[in-house]
Amino acid sequence: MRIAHSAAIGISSIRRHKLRSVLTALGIIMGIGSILAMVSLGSSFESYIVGSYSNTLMPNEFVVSIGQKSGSGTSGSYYSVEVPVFTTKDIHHIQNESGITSVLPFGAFPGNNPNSVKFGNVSIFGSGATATEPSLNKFFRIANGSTFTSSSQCVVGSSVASAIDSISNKTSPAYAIGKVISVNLSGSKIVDFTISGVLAASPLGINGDVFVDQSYYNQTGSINGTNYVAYTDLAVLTGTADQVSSGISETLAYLNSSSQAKEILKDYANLNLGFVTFSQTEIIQFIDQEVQSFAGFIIALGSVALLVGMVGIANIMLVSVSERVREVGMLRAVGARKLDIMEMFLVEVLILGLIGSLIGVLVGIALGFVFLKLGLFGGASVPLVIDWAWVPLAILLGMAISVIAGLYPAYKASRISPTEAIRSE
Amino acid sequence: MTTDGNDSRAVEILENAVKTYSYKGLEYTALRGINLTIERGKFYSIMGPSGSGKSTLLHILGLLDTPTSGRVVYKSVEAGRMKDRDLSAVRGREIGFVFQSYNLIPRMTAMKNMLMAMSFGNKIPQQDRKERGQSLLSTVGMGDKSEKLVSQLSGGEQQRVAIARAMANDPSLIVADEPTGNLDSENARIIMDLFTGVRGEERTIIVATHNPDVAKYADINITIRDGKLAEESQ
Ligand SMILES: Nc1ncnc2c1ncn2[C@@H]1O[C@H](COP(=O)(O)OP(=O)(O)OP(=O)(O)O)[C@@H](O)[C@H]1O
Ligand SMILES: [Mg+2]
Repeated sequence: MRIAHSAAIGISSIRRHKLRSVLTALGIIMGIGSILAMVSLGSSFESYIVGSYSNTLMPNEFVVSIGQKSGSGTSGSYYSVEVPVFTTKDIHHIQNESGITSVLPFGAFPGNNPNSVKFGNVSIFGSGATATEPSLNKFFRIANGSTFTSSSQCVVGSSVASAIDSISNKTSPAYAIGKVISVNLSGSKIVDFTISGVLAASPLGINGDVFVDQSYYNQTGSINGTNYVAYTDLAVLTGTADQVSSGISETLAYLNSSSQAKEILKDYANLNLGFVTFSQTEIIQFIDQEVQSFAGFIIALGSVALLVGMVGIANIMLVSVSERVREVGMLRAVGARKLDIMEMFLVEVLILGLIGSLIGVLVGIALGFVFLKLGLFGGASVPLVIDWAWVPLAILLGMAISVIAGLYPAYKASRISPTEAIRSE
Repeated sequence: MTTDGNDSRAVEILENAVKTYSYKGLEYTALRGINLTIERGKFYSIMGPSGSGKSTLLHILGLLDTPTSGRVVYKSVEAGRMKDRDLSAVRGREIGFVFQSYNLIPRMTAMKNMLMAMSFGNKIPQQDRKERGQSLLSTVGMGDKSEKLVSQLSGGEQQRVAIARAMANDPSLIVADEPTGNLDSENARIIMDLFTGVRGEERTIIVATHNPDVAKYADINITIRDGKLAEESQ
């Protein structure tokens, strides 16, 4: 009951000094706002990236490539290089491992140069050919059209399709279907292909690829002077998503021990190459880590804002206490205990903290929205994703900070003597 | 703790109370050894020139302040040894103090100020508070203004609310510092009649005043001069 009256006095004081109350809460508003904005940006970024990976890779899929072994871990290196190492024998072996249902080889043609793919007489910059099988559509999502069914058709990555669009001044995503491109497969072998399908945009680095039938492929790797047809990458499907991690470890175990690929790699010993894998889970974990450390940094920044806010609150509460010496003295004279006075100021600062945190949450969401609208992530239109678990946490944090900031002023107020009630102002 | 078996009618006893204020290194002794026994059910007036120490004395009698030296015994308990909690309880439940400068929370209504005092006193049952607040405000002629904000009331009206508030918790000791200072003679008479009306066997009233007409209501007139009791006339 007493606390209800303490609260009533606090609220009447907040209402009396609206502007000052807002200023008091400003530190909290900015602190909570910036933390929430950054957390929202983090989760928006994360779900955007994760979304675009899962757009490309199935949950029950992984890709094996050759990568430059920089950094730690077996995967996560995005600088995969195209080296023909995976032989038919290797593919069969991997296919027979438990949990693995199918393996799709990719053979990148060497010497991808700016002139290797042309639409009409215009070169499509940054694109090159990769040989694979028509079952490509079981491994990567085809956004428009369908997979190739003959050696005169091809499937193109999304940036090849958009290049064709912009060359022709079109914007339809299906415009490229049925168009003919000429591809320099290797050396001077130039073949015309009719586009049958366009892959979904992917962060895997395949957007510039032109996928053609395996019959064109003839790259080899050598073991002790014998040449074997060898592929540059493998996409592997497992029965379920749960089998991906065991599939990866079995595959890597095989590749690193008795595979022909390992023998072929010996020819490239000076390049310090190794097998790398990509899967949805691995990539999501990696992005999670990135976002976590990003969030950690931002939270550190927000904490500084909160600390500044805390000092601000303490300061303004002290002013408020000194302005209300008379009132406090009077309350003490009519029977308020020291505890009641402390409570009164703490309730007041708690309410301020709550209001500040609530406004901070709104400001945070708005800031996140504005940042995304400004195209923070290279102009990609990233939709705002709010991590709602953070909202109550942020509010609690703001309130806790406020109460801590209010402790000393409240203590000071509780020390005011009843005779101060007569002090003239 | 001291018990005083000799004088069971004593509510409060001051023994050689001295109050020295120090302000910016300057010391000023406002009370110079006051010996005074306040008896239950009596009406006291305290008169004296401005600056003689009336307010200082009342603050000590109202347990708002402690003397620099000497003792204050309230209902057989030495005030200097009471804990804040107990002191606050006595202030809230047993003493009604009227400040020289009526002290209310200006941004709240008259009624809210009454309820606030009753809440801190925690003596009047919850369900009776509103009615009691209204009836006390009516007694001081403020019944129709109970829902007005204090800041919208005149000085005299605020003083009347302050007097009503002093009686909110049905105190056994009312200590009033110039309660009629801001009132016209008509309202002053109403207030003094009110004090006379509410005093009884158990309720003691102490009023500091400059006004001899007010002093006439008292059983005992005490005069203070330069921090010393000059005379006590019955
Ligand atoms: N907090 C204080 N600090 C320093 N001096 C004080 C303080 N309070 C009162 N005094 C001094 O103590 C003396 C007595 O003051 P007090 O208020 O008790 O007088 P009073 O008799 O009530 O006067 P008045 O009739 O004007 O209200 C005065 O000289 C005053 O200046
Ligand atoms: Mg005075």
